[in-house]
Amino acid sequence: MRYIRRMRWFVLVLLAGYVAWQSVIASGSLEAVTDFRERTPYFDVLLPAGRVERSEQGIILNQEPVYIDVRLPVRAKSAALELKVDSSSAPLKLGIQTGEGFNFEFSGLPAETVGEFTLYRYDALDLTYVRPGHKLRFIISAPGLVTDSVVVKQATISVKRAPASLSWWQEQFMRLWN
Amino acid sequence: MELKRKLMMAFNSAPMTNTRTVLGELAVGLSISWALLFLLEILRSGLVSLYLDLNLILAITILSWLTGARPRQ
Repeated sequence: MRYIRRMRWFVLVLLAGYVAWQSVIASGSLEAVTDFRERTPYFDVLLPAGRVERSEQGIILNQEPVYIDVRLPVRAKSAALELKVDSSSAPLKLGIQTGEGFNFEFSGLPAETVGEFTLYRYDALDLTYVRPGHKLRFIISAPGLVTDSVVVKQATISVKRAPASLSWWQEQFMRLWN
Repeated sequence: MELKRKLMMAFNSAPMTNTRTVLGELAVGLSISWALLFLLEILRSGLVSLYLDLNLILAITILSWLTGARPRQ
């Protein structure tokens, strides 16, 4: 009976421990997808709001460039963003913010056509800059954009975790301390 | 009558009580865990939902409460 009584704490330790393990120690990769219909903890809406329009088909670009912020839920070593776009105008350019201010690096990867959609991908192999709130900012540039001609249907972020290290914890601690 | 008595005894026997107690304890543990994890998720969205399905835990918790509720003495 004494042991049965301890089961409630066993359940608590098991579940909370699993989350702690995954958050702190586990390595591997994670993937999150959004079609922009529902809010997710990982993706913010495309910014600035005045340049885009929400529709049944997806997010319509009225002006460019627009930005997409992705919140990293874990320590990340590298990240890749893939956009599924229905585009009938000039091709897009995908980039990532590499420093404070307007510092962006654009992808040299060619777009891939899958059926009626175009897939754009940006691979950030070594993350050097993360915005406050553990966010990565990607830029979608569409030179020669014709209004209503680009619809962003889906975004996928793939994150490769950085291994747990003492220096990372020291960095986090110092950030909180200062 | 003998069979009925045996069945009644089996139904009210210790293993059944233990099963109910275990389920009751599981229900308590799951409730505490769910509340804690839910709070963590509110404080930092995505921290828990990335790894665990809170809706599923809530469903299992309710089920445990329903099946593990102790019979009236």
